[in-house]
Amino acid sequence: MIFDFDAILAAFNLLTGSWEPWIVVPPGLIIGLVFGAIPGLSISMGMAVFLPMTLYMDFVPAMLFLTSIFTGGTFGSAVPAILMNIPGSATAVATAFDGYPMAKQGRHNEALGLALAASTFGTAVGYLILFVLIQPIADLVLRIGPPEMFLIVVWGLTMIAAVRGHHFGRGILAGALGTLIGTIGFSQIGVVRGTMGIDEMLDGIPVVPAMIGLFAASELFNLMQKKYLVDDPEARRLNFRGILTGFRQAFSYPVVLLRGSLIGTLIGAVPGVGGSIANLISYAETKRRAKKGETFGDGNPKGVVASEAANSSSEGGSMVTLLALGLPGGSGTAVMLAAFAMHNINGGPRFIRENTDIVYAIVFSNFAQTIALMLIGLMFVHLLASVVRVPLRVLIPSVLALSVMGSYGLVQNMSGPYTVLVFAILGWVMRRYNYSAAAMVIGLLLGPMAEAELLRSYQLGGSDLTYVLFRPGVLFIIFALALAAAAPRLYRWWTARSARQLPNSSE
Amino acid sequence: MSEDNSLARDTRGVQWGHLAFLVGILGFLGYYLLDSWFAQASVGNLIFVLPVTVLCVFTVTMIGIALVRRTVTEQDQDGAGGDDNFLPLALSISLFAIYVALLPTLGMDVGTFLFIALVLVVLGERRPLFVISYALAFSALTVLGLKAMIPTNIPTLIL
Repeated sequence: MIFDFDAILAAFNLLTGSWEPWIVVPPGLIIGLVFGAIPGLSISMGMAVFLPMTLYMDFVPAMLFLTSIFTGGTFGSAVPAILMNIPGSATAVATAFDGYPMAKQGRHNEALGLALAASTFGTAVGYLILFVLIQPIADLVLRIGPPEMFLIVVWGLTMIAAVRGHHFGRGILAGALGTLIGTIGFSQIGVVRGTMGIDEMLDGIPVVPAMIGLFAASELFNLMQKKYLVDDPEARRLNFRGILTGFRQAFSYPVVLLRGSLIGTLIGAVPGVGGSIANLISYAETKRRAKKGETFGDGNPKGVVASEAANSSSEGGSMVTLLALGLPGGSGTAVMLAAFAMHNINGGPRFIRENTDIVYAIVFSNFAQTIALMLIGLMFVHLLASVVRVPLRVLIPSVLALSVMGSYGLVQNMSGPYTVLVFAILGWVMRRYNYSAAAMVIGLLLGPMAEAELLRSYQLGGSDLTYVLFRPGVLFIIFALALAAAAPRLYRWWTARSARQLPNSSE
Repeated sequence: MSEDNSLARDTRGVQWGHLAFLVGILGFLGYYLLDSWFAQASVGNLIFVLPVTVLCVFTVTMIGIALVRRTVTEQDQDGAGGDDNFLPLALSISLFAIYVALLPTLGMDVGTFLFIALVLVVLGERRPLFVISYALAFSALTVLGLKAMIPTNIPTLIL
């Protein structure tokens, strides 16, 4: 039986018996919005900073508090992605692809509304799927082995190279280089590589500061020749009605919303992948299927919707892995895992069986959180959007300094600011010659995982990798990868053929 | 895009900066592969690094050949960011580098104050009162906020 009705009733009792579980939700959402929206800070940082507070809460309110930071942060990270081309986190990389061009066209209100609607919808769908499919998805995730994980990573990297810009080779190079830089430090077998004798690099390049440098600082260098983020004073005007219009407009793309939410939930359930890949795959799929795919990257609203629906729903997916297997899908769920430990609770199939009411309570509370996010997000989006009114001569040094401080806060030593500086200059050069900074960031994030999974596959096969070609999962992913790569060319060939045949048939 | 291409004007020459960037990448790839190889020349250590390095070298070579064989178009120059207002850009990047390098000496508080104030002036702010008051308020608020948020000490000179 998929549902346990006694547990459903118990969950309702848990949530309605007292106001205590609910009082933590609005502050959690606001904390998430702020940490997500400020470049240099991150959702996981917000969750980690406020984690000690959950010691004084019961387990259910603690989880509600942390998931509300997560929910608020996922949307919050879209705000700088749209307004400044600086994704608040890796989960909003694809949001910037079309959100920022929309902002430059003076359509920032619309883009923010689109992102908010897609975020709330995606979160709700993600948790709905968690509610319905927690057992089957847990079984599926258990079957994913190292070879499949390695191919999922390769898929993600290929997608990012394919979807960014008109220079496929430069995208591949940036992504591959990123994976190599990501493996600096101790290797999977304990060998030290590429540290140049610097002790701080033994644990590898700090990824978040590198991401801040590549995205934030290098973009700010490029903005120095402008006076405002949006040149037209009329377009800089904030418009609540515009945000609402964007909010409503998102629901005119139901297929994009649903597809993004489904992709997000499925990818989010894969440990270590999560929203950072889900938003890219959803974006790539939406672009690939669109009739006017060439308009993506120039301010197509569907790009924002696809990315935000996927990254928000991946939260529900990553909760599947956390609850069912006790594995964190990303840094956010890693903090939640720490909260589990603080309350002496171990995630896993046994946890689900013995505490189904708590699992359902977390799911139901997240449905309520989506409504709260809609209201609080609408209020805060207006406030956060005021950043476009700030002259760039003030904004640029402020965000640069904030990025340096944020990187110090994350790493808690000077290697954070040094990493920001090095990657800011690298990112600036990359942008100058049309290399994808996003591809490098994704490479940095996934490089260590790709190496670990490849090595594990090799070890599992007894020093022979040929066995992977006989695994159905591997064959399926290779087929999907080949299909995704070939589909745009097949579509172009098909439309060109149809166009050639049309005049003939009219004759 | 096609419109942009039609407007693109050929100018003879090679993007030397771009080529230098590619040479830099090759340098990093060579260093990293050799360092990994000498650290331990085993399958376990090179199973990922070696094939990815080969892929990178191949891609760099292809991009390099394409760069040398074709002329630079006006569009490429736009992509390169142009050289208008290069001085404020170079000054700001230099100030950022100096700011980060001197943080352990000047501290977050004084370093941030000086960085904000100087970049404001470089980027065209001409109201001294605003420059000083904004830099002061920003550095004080952010440094105090950071001190409250993280458990470890942060380098400061005054606060």
